Order: sequence, then C-alpha cells, then structure tokens
Amino acid sequence: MSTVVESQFEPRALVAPSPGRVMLRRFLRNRVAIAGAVVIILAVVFSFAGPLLWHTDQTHTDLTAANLAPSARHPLGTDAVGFDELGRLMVGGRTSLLIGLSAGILATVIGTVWGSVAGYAGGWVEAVMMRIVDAGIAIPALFILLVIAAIAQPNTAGLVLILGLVSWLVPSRLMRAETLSLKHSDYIQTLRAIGGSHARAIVHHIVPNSVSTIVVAVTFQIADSILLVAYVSYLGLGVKSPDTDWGGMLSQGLSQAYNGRWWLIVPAGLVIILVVCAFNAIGDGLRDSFEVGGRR
Amino acid sequence: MTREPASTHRPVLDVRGVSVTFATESGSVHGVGPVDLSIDPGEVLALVGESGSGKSTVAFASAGLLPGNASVSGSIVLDGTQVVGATERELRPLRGSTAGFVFQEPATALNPLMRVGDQIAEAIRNHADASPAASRARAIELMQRVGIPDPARRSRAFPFELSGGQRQRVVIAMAIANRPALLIADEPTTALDVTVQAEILELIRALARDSGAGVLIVTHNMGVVADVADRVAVMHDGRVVETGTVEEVLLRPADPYTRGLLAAVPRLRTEPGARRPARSAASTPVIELAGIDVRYGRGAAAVRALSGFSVTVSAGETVGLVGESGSGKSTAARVALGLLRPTAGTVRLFGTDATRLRGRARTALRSDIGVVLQDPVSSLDSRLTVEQCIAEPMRVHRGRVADPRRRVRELLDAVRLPQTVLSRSPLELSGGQRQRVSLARALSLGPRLLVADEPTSALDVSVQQSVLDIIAETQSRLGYALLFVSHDLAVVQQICDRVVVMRHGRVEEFGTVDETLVSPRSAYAQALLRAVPVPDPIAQRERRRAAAEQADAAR
Repeated sequence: MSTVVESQFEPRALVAPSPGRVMLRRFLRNRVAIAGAVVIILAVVFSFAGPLLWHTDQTHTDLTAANLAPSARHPLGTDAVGFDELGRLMVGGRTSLLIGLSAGILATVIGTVWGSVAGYAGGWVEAVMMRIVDAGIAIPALFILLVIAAIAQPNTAGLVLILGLVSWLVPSRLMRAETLSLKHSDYIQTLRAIGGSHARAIVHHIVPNSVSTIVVAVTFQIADSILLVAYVSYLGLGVKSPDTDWGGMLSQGLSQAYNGRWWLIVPAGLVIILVVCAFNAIGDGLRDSFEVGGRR
Repeated sequence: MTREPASTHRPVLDVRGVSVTFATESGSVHGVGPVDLSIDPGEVLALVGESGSGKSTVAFASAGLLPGNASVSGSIVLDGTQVVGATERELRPLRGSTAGFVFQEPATALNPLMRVGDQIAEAIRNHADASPAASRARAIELMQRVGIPDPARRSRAFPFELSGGQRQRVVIAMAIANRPALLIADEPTTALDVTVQAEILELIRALARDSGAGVLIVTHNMGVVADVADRVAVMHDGRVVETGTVEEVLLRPADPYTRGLLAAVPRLRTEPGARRPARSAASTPVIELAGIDVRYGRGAAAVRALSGFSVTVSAGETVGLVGESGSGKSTAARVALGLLRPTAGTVRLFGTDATRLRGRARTALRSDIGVVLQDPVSSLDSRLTVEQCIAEPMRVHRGRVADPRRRVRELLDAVRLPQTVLSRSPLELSGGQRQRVSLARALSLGPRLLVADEPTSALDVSVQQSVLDIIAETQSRLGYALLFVSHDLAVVQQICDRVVVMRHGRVEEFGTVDETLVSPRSAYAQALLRAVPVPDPIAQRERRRAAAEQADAAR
C-alpha cells in the first residue's frame, strides 16, 4: 500500500539546478559585478606581470631624469627622484594589492572566529566579547593606525597584521548575527542532543552555512584595507622607500601638485578609486546572488 | 442533503477554464489548470489537496491577488465582475469588499501596534463612507457577531493581548466587515489548536448560513472538510480531479487519487482495542524523567513551562506526549534530549543520572540517542550531502561503527530511499524524503532511545503514513524506546503504547492508549478528543451534535 501511495504522491524530487549554479548564473548576469571582477584581474596582471614587459629601474634614483613630463620613453613621466611613474605604479600596486588582500582576509578570519564564538556561547561570554567590539568600533581605526605607525615603522607583514587587527570588528558583528539565527536550527539541536561538541557545531555547521556572509564581508574588507593602506602611506607612515604603494605615491605626488605635475597624482589616485570600487561592486554582486540562493 | 441547483441566483464565484503560469528565472512554469469551480451564495466549498497541488494559487487568483510573475488565462467571475485581465484599479473595490480574506496565521494578519477595534474600523472605512464613530460602533457589533466576549472592552485591546483563536475571530470580523459576497479562507485553522479550530469552523458555518455569503475554504485537513464544507473540490498537480458534495467525495470517492488520499488519513479510533499488546512493565526503563520543573524568568514574572512532570519509557515501548500548543510537550522532549536543564527534578538516561554529566561522559551517554525533529527544512544542514548528514553521528562517535560507508547504505534501505540520493543536497529532496534522511541519521548508531518531536506534522498525509510505517518497522527490529511528541491524536493512537496528556505544563492524564485516548477520565482529554474532526461528514455531524449537548449539559 505504502509503496503505491509513494509512487503516486512523491514522484518529484525536484531536479532543480544546484544552488551554486544558480548563484553563478546570477552573478554573471550582474554587469557591474563582472566589470569589477575584470578591473581586479587587470590590476593584478598589471602589477605582477607588468614589470616583465615594461622593464624599469625601481631601485636606483636617477636625478638627471627627475620630474619629466609623459613622453614615449616614460608614458606617465617620472617622479622627483627619477623613477619611471608607470613602473612605479606596478611596484606600488603589488604592495597595495598584497597588503589589502591579506589584511582584508585576516580581518575577516578574526571576525568570523570572534563573532561565531560569541554568538554561539551566548550569555555573559557573548556580552563581554561584543562590548569589546563596541569599544573598538568607538575608536576610529585611523587614529589607532597613526599611533602605531608613529611608534614603529612597520614592514609589509607588520602592516598586514596591524590593519587586520583594527578592522575585524565589523565582520565579527555580522558573524555574530548570523550565528544567532543558525544556532537554534534543528540540525544544531540534533547534533547537541546526540553528544556532538560545541566546536563541531561551529566548525562544521555554523561557519560553512555563513559562507555567503563571510565572502561578502571579505570583499568589502579588502576594499577598506586598500584604502587604509593608502591613508597610512599618504600620511607618510607606509612601507619604506624604495618600496612604495599607491597611497605613498599619491602622498609624494601631492607635494608637486602645484607645479602642474599632474602625472604624479592622477594615475595613482585613479587606480585606488578603480580598485576599491571594483571590490565593492563584486561584494554587492555576490550578496545579491547569495540572496537568491538563500531564498530558494 | 443534496442541494437543489441554484437556478434563481448566479454563483458568487464562477471559475471557468483557468490556467496559471509563473515566469521564473529558468523559464515559465505551468502552475495550475485548467480549473473549473463555482460557489453559490451561502455555500461552503472546500478546496483540498496536498502541498503543491495549486489550491492556494486558485484561491488567490479568484481575487486577482497573484504575484506579478503569474499570468492567468480563462474566466473568473466574482459576483458579476470579470477578474481575469482586470486592472488594479478595477480590482481594488473587489478586495475586502466583494471578497473578504482569512489567512492561516492570525498573528501576522494583524498590525501589532494598532488596537483591534481600530483595525476593523479601518477595514470598514476603506470601502464605505462611514464616520469614525459609526465605523467604530460597527466594529464592536462585528466583534460581537464573531463571538468575542465583551466586545466593547476587547475592541481596545492590542493583538498580543488576545489568544490565537480570538485573533483569528478578529481577522474574520475584518473579512466580513463589508458584507462580502465571498469569503476566502486559506487554511484558517491550521495554526490553531483543535478545540479552537472547532469553534472557528462553527463560526464560519454560521456566517455562511446567516449572511448568504459563499465561502471558499482552502485546507489539507479532511476532518475540517467534513466539518464545514457543503461541496468539495479535490486538487492534484494543478488540476481539479474530483468535485461533488461532501458526502459524495469523502464517503464515495470516484477518483483513484482521492481514494488514495482518504485512505492515508489516520482515523481516530473511538472503540477500545489497542493495535498491539501492551508490553511487560518489567523491562528496564531507558529514560526516566521525575518531578521535572522548568521555569523561565524569576519571581512573580516566572513562567512555568513544566511543573512536576514525570514520564518513563522502557525498551521497545512507545510513549506519546500529547497536548495543545503551550502544554509543554516540546519542552519535555528538550529536557529528555538534554538541550534544556530543568529547574528541578532528575533525568535518568539508561540508568545514569544525566543532569550532572559533563564532557566525555556526557558525549558517550548521548551516543545511544536518536533525534527526529519537526521541520524537514531546518533538520538537515543543506551545505552537506545526504551521505554526510546521515554519517554525522558516526563522525561524532568515531569508532562505534566499523564501516560507516556501508552502514549509510544499509540505513538508506531501511528508510526506503534510493542510493542515488547519497550525493544530493537535502535541498533537492521533498519533505518526506528529508524526514526519512533525518530518521536514517537518528538510527545510524543503533539507538536505545529515539525522541521524535512532531516528526510528521509538516508532511502531507500520504507521506506521513510511509514515515510512520518506517518508524514502526525499525522499532520492532531494533527494539528502541520511542518518545513521540505530537498534537495529532489519531497518529498517536496508531503508533503509541502509552500516552501522557499534557496541559499547562502538567500531566493531565496518563495511561494506555485505550485509557487516555478512547475513554479518558479527565474532562480535558475528553474535550480534546471531542474537538478532533473526523473525515466523515455524517459521523462528524453526529460528533458535533454530541459535543454541543455535552457543552449544554455542562452549562
């Protein structure tokens, strides 16, 4: 009897496309997000593969070639110590992208761990952890950066660490909210009832199910970190010369602004704006496509 | 009881050859149709079917309330007005005036920040040119009409101050405020307890009889159909497979689908005769809850979710926890599962005091428990594959099962799922299939205790039966103790040996199925049984009369 009923009533195990494919299709349809992805790819290729094609000396100053206007030999001119500006943009992009990417990921990782543990634990543990976050958010990140940079001149790794440590607060809040809604789901309750550990609940269920929140947070964090690197360097506290980054280039160029040497400011400023906007566009696109995936 | 064809008046709703298609991301999907229906004044038509049959789509289409991606063809005439192809401007006077609506969830149908009297008055003024004072007076009159006691005072109440049943009465008052020709009720009693459901159905019947409005009631519950409907239309896969009077359809169904559907509905047994012999009480208890108190909050504001609750379940035995919402039955299950620490009392699991255990000892003790919860959607982590879902307990308790991969395949056979689902995501499965995956997971370590909290109440009846069969079969094979929480008395009668009837966190009655759910001693259990509608219109009419007599006698 029951088999007859089943074949009659339950024939449709919906052959829906997998959520992953729906999301990808959604994302690919979002033109702004695609444009963002293209910009990022171009920026990475430009910064990392560019020096292989466009050979320039970025270690020895050449004062005879200082402050040259754009020409065939130097398409974007040279700066005050004679570095080729186009080559400099490539070197600076390497630092900016590397630091931005690493710091953005680091911040999101810290935020994910902090937020999921706080949300899952609940009670006074959560209260203490989240008040720490509130306190951190009350202090402007830039202020902390300035203080730290005034004490020590950090190298690249140091800068990543510092940026990561000041910008995990927002992702931790997002992650806590996500955890609160997940921890009462029946599969977590079931896991607890059969003796599964808290760690298993967080690592195997809560974090994987928050992947949409996390991925979106990462893209916004990377954009923020690239901007923060630019701020810090603009204030003269970034990586040491002859290394540079886009913010540092902007800072040095600005002292030449009134001499009409626009090529020292405009290209560096433009790439910062472009890359930050591109990461934000990707973040928006991912969020939209995840939302569709979640609503099914 | 055959109705004369109404030649003198036209039907209030006439649906002819209606099809609905939905435009989606992956192309257009045929939703419903072609469907033909008609409702005469004063008639109650029940539109029944399982989830996905299109019954709600038809109800919404009747008032042009479908979402923007739906396109409707055919003809829908609502009290003389063509709905298909009508503009928003033409439809607006129809909604709430020619047709009134009652939805499933009274809690979300009302504005929580507005006094209920004002909400009813607003519904009046939306369509009629009435003064605020006059509409407020009419609102109180309407509240009287739908049976809310002390309406003048209650009209000043906010929705949260009313019970679920009273809220649904307010929603009904709003729906009939402008004397609609048609009342559309989409699962109006599904969110309510059975005793409240009986009252609401009585009200809907009386409204149709007295006001001459037609009623379109959408439901999946055959008992509700038998209780309230004059005529029935059965929907399956977007089409109406059978239409007729309630006696014809429920007692002499012609269509094979209808017959299968009715056969799957669990029937409430009114004669003693336990399905299986009561087990010897000598066997060792698997779980003992004794004197359990659960309190939320402190002092005078404390809420007692459980007080002095005790239950024992022995190996191979099935104990049912029944009661209405708020009775504490799910709280009791959560205490048994160790998810909730009781304020007082002891929980003994497999002979060990489980309330004090921590860490590894707790983990080891819990490996002998299986869990199946109500919601098929949130019971499984949709990021995992079905195989990973089922294997999870074996990962938590590593080493308990020698060959987890083979065990998963055996479990699939036990719950009658094909091997092909192993690599699927739970999202791709139907509700019944997901509950079977949950059951396979619960059985993976060969549990000595299975706790099932409303495991089938989110499922369609036909699927429910197959899940219950699997539970019964695996229990007889594995001999686990089963604690079964449900609000559905017919299901509990069918699968339980002993039953605990709960009310307000206390045990109201306790005993074998025959003692508690056939001839109960307590007035509460009796009232609960009387309120369950049976899917037989003649028997249901008889039960209703008997219940009314009981109520009169009590008065």
